[in-house]
Amino acid sequence: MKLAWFSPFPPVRTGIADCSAELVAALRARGYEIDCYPSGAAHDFPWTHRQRPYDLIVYQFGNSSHHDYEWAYALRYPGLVVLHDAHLHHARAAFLLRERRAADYRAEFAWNHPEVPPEAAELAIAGFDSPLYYEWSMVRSLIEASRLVAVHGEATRRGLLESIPANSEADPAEKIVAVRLGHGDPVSGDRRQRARREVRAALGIADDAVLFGLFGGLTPEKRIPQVLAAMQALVPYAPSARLVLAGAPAAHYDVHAGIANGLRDRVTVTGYLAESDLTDYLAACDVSLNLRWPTARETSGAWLRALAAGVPTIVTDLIHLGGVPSLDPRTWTENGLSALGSQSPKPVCVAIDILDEDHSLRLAMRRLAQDAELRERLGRAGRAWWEREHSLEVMVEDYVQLIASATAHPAEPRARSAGSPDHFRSDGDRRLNALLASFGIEAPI
Amino acid sequence: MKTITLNGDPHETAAPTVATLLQQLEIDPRRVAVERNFIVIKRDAYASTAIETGDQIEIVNFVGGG
Repeated sequence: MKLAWFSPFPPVRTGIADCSAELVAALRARGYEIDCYPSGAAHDFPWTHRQRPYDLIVYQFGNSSHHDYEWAYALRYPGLVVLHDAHLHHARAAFLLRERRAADYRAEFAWNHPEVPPEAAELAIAGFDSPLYYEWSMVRSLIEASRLVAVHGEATRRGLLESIPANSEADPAEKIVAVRLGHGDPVSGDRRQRARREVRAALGIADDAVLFGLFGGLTPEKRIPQVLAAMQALVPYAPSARLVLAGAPAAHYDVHAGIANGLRDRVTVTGYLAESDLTDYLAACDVSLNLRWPTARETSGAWLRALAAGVPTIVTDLIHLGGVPSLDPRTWTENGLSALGSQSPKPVCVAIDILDEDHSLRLAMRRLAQDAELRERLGRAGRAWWEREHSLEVMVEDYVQLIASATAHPAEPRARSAGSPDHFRSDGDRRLNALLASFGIEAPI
Repeated sequence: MKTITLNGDPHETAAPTVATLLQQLEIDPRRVAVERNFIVIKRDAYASTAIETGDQIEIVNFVGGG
């Protein structure tokens, strides 16, 4: 089986780049012949595919500019599209508007979301972007152009199906499937003890202090202001509590400005951490905070790493995490277990209702700061859940099935059919000639 | 027959010109740019540009629509 694999790869620092590198290595070990096409190599694909056609083209998509180059290929060469984010509106709009293709954005928005008044596109063009982007997924064109679409988890699949317009040409229920996302490495007891000792010594944190951690790029969407407020409220109940914000602050967000005077000696901002250091910092923590709102319905890599490390976690109760057994901190009863019936595993995390966030988060942090037995229980259950749902091995098993299913689907470029935006049917030469003409260069072709 | 390097791989061809080479490869000339020995050839020169042994030919496809 010969595969073309479109994705960013390391040294690009994204979870999808890491995931692709792991998957490609594991699938090659199972006998798949895979050619990788990051952005710098994609121009070789048409020729290679023409000379020696691939059995399947795999596109790994996320909601970032690292995937801009994949769109043209995915629309022209139908394949298996894996959506790491069920919404791609931010990245797609940013790409089109950065290139001053407002007309293309309007056409694409209308094509993707015919149920929405087309004037809504003007809000993004005028710059009122981020909250708007979360409302509409902008993935219809990819879904219709693909042979098969995969998302992470059944809850994400259901959510995506609900977001697709009813008059879409393809039957999305047949085209969209769920796979398990594998990420993270188990952390041995020895490593955890060593990391706890060394990291805490480096940060000046006592071994018996309760340490909360928040990992990855530091953005307001990770609810850092709410976490800081909850931390302040926690101090009277857990005087030893500390918080480490383990990642690089986003350029648009001054995380230090939000740390109140009373918290300055309790909160540490590490800056960017390399991969192995990140695991050690995770292992040194008692609780991992993996909150998110708003969401593009992505699965947090940091959350999976915390589960793998056996660290108890607090997450936001989001639609795409609906199948994850969790505890509601208002009642300490279990959420999300009814669908799992008698096979239901133990709760693996604490889930915060976004509509009651401040209150629920304070309850959750207070209880976990004071209840070592609960932390231990959640850590064990989280690790078991990770082995069942999120290890590299289960992801590879799912991909083997997925690749077999995708190759059985026809390869018809439906998004290029009549009715789709004109720029989906463009060959690119008109745009190239226009670009060259703007520099006063006579087009060579 | 002449041996050329075509998109990085050795290739045997009897094509006298770039236009004939594209024809033999069943490639629509409107969809590609052709570079011969690091020089981009204008489309209207395909028929008059000779292919010589040892030439390095790069055929680049456009992928529009994104």
